Amino acid sequence: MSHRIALIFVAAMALAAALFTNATRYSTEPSSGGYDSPRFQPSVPTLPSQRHSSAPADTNFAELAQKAFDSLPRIETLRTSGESVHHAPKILLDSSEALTQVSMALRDHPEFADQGIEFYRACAHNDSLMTAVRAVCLQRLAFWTKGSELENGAHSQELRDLAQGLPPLPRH
Amino acid sequence: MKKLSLYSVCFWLLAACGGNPAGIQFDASVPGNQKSLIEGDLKLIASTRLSAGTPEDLKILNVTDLSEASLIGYLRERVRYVVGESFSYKQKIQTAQLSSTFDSEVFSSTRDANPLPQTQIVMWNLGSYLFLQAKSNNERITLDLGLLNIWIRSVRVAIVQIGEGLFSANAIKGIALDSKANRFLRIGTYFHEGRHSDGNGSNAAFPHAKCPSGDYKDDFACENNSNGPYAVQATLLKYLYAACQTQGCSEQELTGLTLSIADYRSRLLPGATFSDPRPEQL
Repeated sequence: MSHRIALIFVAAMALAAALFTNATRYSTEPSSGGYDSPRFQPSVPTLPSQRHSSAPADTNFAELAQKAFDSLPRIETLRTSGESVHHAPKILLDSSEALTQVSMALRDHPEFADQGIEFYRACAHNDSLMTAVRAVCLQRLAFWTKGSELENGAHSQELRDLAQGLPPLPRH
Repeated sequence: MKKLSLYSVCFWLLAACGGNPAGIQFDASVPGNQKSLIEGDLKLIASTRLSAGTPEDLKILNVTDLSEASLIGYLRERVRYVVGESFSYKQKIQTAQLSSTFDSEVFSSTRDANPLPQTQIVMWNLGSYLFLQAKSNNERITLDLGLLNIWIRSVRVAIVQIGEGLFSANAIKGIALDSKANRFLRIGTYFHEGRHSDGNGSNAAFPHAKCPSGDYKDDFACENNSNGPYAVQATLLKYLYAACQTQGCSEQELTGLTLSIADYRSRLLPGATFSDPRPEQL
């Protein structure tokens, strides 16, 4: 009997520790680094364990999105890299990794749709980012806003044409 | 001497029949691993069934359909010889000296990298560049390709140079070089360079235009032709994307292809017009 009580006590302590860890994480501000308005709110819950997602289990969506945003290819970076621009630059292709992490996290956890929309909107709006990545963000933004974002005039016609001419989204 | 020429011809004919479905010939300067990947790419395009092309897209590509045979035929006519990054064409030119009157940037679009590290070669159409040199200088140029001495008298002389960048820079991060998506990306590049083997008059070789604004401002990385190399590349990649999707490519692979399509489409300048793709000869 006393053995069972001890076991319940240990389990309760472990649960309390887990809750405390999450509470600490809630209060963490997303890292700064060019993610302009709108920023994510710090009170985003931790993603549940993700057996079907590429996102690390202990990462919350805000952190994932912030990290992804910070890694998106900037025109200035391209211009100073000396990279050949005859074909699609490597920094552009590399961004497929970050964009995929965000889209998979959103697909597996649609409860973060609002934060995902903020991410895609910030990306599509940011004219320091490469045009191709902004077009891909706008296409995904249009998906999550059911097309309204393409119609509200917030983006240039050129960017809208580019986004609308892209192939259908992979498995959304 | 005649016998030697005969042997040369026989050698190249045999080389053309084996190795890859397009009969592309590789110079000794192409590393074995690169040659092997390209041959795999060509086998993939020869075995990939694409959906039926729209009339507009077929017109851009200048093919009758998107069958495996048509696509291989496109490459066979426009990309016949591949030389490696170490191949120095300046040392292989015969009977004429090159002057620097023509800007090679219209094909390679490299930035002035000085004092930055040297830009990696992805792929460029050396043959078309030499053709424009010969044409603008009224010279007869021949290029020594080992067993072959090629007279550069057509924009469709079809000699391309590749570099490590074709495999390292032109690839989706973390995805195997022999994955379908990375092979499709390279196939798009072959078709892009293939279009540089077309055109006539002021539009011979379908040169790139200087971008007036945007990501590539002041680089020769845009085009005024609605059927130019970037249009060809974006159009073909759209069909390859669909094939990749039905063949189970991962989400990241598909995202990489989408980014490429967006990038190439973004390079078409407003008001781009269709140009006659028939190849010019001297």
